[in-house]
Amino acid sequence: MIEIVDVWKNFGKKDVLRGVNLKVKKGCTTVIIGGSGAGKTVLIRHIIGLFKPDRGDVFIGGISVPNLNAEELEKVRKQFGMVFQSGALLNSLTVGENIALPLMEHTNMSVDEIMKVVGEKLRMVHLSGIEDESIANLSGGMKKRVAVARAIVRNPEIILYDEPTAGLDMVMARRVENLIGDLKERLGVTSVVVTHDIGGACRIGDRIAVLSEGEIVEAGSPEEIMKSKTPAVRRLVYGNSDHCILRRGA
Amino acid sequence: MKISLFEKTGGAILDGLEAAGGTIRLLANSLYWCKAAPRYRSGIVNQMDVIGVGSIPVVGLVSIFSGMVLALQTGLELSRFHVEEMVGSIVAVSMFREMGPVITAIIVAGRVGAAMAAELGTMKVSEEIDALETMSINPVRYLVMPRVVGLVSMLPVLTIFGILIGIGGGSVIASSIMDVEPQVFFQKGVDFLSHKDVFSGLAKSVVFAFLIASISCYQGIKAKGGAEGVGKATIRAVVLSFLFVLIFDYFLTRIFY
Ligand SMILES: Nc1ncnc2c1ncn2[C@@H]1O[C@H](COP(=O)(O)OP(=O)(O)O)[C@@H](O)[C@H]1O
Ligand SMILES: [Mg+2]
Repeated sequence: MIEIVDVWKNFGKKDVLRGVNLKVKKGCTTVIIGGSGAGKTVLIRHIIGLFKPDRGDVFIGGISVPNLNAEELEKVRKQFGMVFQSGALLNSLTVGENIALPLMEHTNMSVDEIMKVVGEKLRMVHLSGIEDESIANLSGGMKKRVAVARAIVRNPEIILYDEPTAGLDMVMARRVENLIGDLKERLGVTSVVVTHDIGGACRIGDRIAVLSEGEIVEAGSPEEIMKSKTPAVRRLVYGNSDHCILRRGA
Repeated sequence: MKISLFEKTGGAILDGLEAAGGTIRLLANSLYWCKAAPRYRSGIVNQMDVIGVGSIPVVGLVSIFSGMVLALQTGLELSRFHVEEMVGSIVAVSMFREMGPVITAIIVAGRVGAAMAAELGTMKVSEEIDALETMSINPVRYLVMPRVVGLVSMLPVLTIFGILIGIGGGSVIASSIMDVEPQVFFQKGVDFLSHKDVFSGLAKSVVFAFLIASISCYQGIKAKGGAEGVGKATIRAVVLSFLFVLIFDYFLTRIFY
């Protein structure tokens, strides 16, 4: 479904990505884990064509994303929903208007039809009835879930999540993790999740890929990652959280 | 040492050229997207309201005092030669040709240009503009074009308003301090004003509007590095707008007169 082939990216003097290779299977949740500043956001932005690689290629269903013109890119992006780290909801619009925006821009649906879809998507993220709230009044967790609702409004095949649980309390983080699992089950979407939290990665990932020093140093099932002997992987596993190990060990 | 200074100067020049090119391209791009203006009329009307109606009090206030100062300074000189009734023509001509367009543009650059850069800059650093792009919503079409159209349509209106208020302020001073009756004041103004004065003043305000909108929007969407970056972008937007309004004012005046 998604294939990242030897992607290099450099900002100024700094090589952020140094030959990343990764395959994401259709219908699976793939978690990319790495420390803060490892280049996770940079990598996920390459998938949706917000950054162009200096070298290497990104394929979506066999189509090379970096070589698309604006029109073709628009078509490919239609299959995507992206949840940004900060939510990236438009502050000048209400919750309902934010979720409605892609439909307003790209379809000829009537306002009533659009608001029906908006209500349905809000129900899916367990936030019914907040269409008229302003973005500024939402808590961090609500913002993340509204961002998810906006990402799924055009029924995408692939959803990209950039640190969906960062900055949330434990309960809210679990709720967002469950939501990610839920969407995969109910909509059959392919998900790519970027996180620095190994516990969450184990809970939601079918496959985990570890990003370190600009490369994917290891990829496999959560069990394989937990048992890995690679130093970079062990640092992430033990450095961040150990409840996952305890759970897996028990 | 010499080489590093050389490099620094060279780098600054290249950065400046890049920004100039980017600003021109952004302006061209937003003019292209004017074809989508009918679909975005609610956004454009909203911008016109914020820019136009919102600026009326401060433009009015600054203009009335400018007109009063102008009448005071010139009227006192003229009265030494006993031709104080000419004050009406001097106030009218300088308000239309120069003071009205420039003062209004400077106020609007400080108020509206700063707001545009801050808004778009905040949207840039909080990934909102990237989010628009991933949803295949062109940020120039959705965000920049309504601002350019709003400013270009409202600045000439504000300029006319400022000019008239300024002339009104001048007439108050003329009648109260120099005993020039308002009828005489306005009659002299009308006698001496040419079509060209009115036209050049309006043409200037249209050019200034394009400058302020494109500079401010460009600085906004190029902002990076969090709140600090937004602050810097806002300062640059205002300073560059002031600078280029004055530079273009000189050259437009040269062209017209
Ligand atoms: N647009 C950019 N311009 C310059 N440097 C960038 C840009 N985006 C990211 N970087 C740099 O790339 C590195 C990785 O960033 P990022 O992908 O955001 O890390 P994270 O893994 O925490 O998401 C950082 O050192 C950052 O400074
Ligand atoms: Mg990040």
